[in-house]
Amino acid sequence: MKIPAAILSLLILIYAGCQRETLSVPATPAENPTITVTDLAGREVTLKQPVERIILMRSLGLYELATVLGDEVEEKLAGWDSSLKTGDLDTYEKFVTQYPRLEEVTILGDILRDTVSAEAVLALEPDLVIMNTYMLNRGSKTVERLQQAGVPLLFLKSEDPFRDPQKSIRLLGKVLGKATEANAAADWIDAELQLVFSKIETIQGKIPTIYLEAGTQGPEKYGNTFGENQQGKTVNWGSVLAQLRCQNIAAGSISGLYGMGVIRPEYLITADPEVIVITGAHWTAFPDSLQLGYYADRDQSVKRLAAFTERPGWSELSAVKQRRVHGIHTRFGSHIMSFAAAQQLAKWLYPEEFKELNPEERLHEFHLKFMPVEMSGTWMVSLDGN
Amino acid sequence: MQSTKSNDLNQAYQRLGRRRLAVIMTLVILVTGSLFLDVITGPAPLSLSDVMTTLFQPGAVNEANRTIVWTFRLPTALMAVFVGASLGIAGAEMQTVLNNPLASPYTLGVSAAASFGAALALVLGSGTLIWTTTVFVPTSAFVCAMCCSLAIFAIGRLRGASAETIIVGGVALHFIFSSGVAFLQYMASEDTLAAIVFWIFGTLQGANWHKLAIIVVVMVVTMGLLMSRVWQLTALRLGEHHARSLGINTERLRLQTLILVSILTATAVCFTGVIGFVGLLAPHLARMLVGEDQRYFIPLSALSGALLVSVAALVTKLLIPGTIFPIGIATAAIGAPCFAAIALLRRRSYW
Repeated sequence: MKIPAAILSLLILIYAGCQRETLSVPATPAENPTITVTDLAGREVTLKQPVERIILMRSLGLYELATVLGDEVEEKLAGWDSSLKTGDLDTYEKFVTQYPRLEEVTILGDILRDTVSAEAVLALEPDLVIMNTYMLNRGSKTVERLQQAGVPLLFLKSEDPFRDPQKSIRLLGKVLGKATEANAAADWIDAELQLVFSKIETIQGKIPTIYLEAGTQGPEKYGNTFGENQQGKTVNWGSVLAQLRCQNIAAGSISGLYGMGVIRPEYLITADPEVIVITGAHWTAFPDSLQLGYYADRDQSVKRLAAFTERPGWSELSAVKQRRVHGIHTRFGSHIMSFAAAQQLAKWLYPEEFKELNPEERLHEFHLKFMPVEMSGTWMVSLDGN
Repeated sequence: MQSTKSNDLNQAYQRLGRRRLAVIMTLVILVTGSLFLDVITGPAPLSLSDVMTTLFQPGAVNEANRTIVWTFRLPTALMAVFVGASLGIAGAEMQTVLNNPLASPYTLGVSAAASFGAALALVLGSGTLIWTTTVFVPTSAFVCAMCCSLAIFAIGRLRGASAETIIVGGVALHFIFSSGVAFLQYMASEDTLAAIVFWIFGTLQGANWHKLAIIVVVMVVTMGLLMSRVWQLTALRLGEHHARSLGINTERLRLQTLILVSILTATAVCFTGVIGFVGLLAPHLARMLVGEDQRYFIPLSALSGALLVSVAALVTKLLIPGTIFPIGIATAAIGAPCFAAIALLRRRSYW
């Protein structure tokens, strides 16, 4: 058993070596067209054209790739990690149901834990490896080795959920030969966000307070909330809240490495926010979490959300008394569908001003126009059942 | 002549006893003070009189204040005290029966086993909808910690329960469980990993009256059983041969004590996660103050442990009012310099 394995890995090594050779040989434009772009980490990247084999280093970034590639995602995806399956099961299943081949896509290790084998990446002969800027500055040996090996890495970005996803898909569109589609989607999203920001700037009066928590661990244990990171930067939901004319009660007090931390219940009771938002997804490891996504049942999700209000002391909170407790899909804080978060949060914060806006319907339209899969399930819920 | 000498001795002994009682009383006052400060501080702007009214006339204040004091502050503050005391006693008796100054719930792998149990429950959480994670995780941690203890017990029985065999067996178990935890961390999804890491750091959040009651009952019973053996345990520290020549079945005493402190440790850590350094530091503090006489050593170890965790809880609350900071980091950060100071500053060897 050992010897064939050794031979196999030797072969892969040799093969990988050859692969590197061919990549570094300057190709004649006529035979092997290439494209050179600057990625969102500011690096110059030259990629072979057309791109046929793609590795998505974090499968949670599937939304952007699918928006750009459409149905082609099934044939072009050559490798990814398991983060989508464990952290967003509904989306994984939605895509696998529609594109069964995705189930056989090679699963690489977790780049954030440095368990990706550079050899395994090379063995897949990728034309493009999609990374994200949050993978940098972690001292990852894998990123370093992949760069040394000449693997075509392209860094996308998701720090600012209202701007970076559009930049990401525009860039993806350019390198995947789908510029028209990608730009159309990005423009559409920009317009959707404009609906919120043009109005929210004109609103006068008191700034409402809000508390947002990841409902990962269910009602019995407080999950992470989002403030700002050590450099004073906000990311993910912290960034969403910072841009929406509301007072995030965690903003000043939570400042961990990634701007996430668990609030002291007493602090929450004292701050008494006007609006509470719990984020949900289909986390496989946490049976009590708030379940949202393509296969979430509305009644079930409302029930799960209501369970959060039964935490000790919560019955006294104004948000609970006035039933301003809501649930929203947790990945809306970081990817291309974050426009729905902007619209929905704006509506929850200012129900009068945004009466006309229907975020659910906009999300539906986004799916019709740009997503290869159909909209289904429940993505936003409120205590009153809407 | 003879009688004056024995009178002197008698007086000296009584003075010593009084001095030790005074030390214990001082610690009781310190722990009470720390507990009091812990209850009156917090992110909510409650004045001293607000807290007092809420404590003594709960009916007279609004619901929010009642929740803050009775649901959040009081159980958490008391939990700090009793978990600290449990770990202090556990450490003290492990050091006593194993005749080793570095023994603590860590050394024998009990903490590692509890971490493994919790991590296992968190990783397997997906398939088990029968129990919620909040019940499943502590149960699994407790069961694993007890399995570890039983394994140590079995090793001890098999090899004649000498202190060395038990320590070696315990260290081996510690590493087995640690590698198990590392493996589960490697396997876990990102969110599960975060949950495992936070559990291992230790936290007093999630403290409630039920958990507190369980910890208090286990601690009181264990302490009672240990106090009924104070003379035998004291004799054990004279050395194996001395203790035996005094008619003590050292093997049985050692194993029984180990089982008792394992239950104590497992109960404490299964609710709070790993709270580092208390089990090691508290007995050393106690020993420095009152020596090896178990009548004073056991209560004082409990009090030192309680003080350490309570102060750590207070400090983290004052430094970071809005966020929950893992208590295990704070106890180790406060405890380790104290430990080093004891080792460096003590004038005579006390071990």
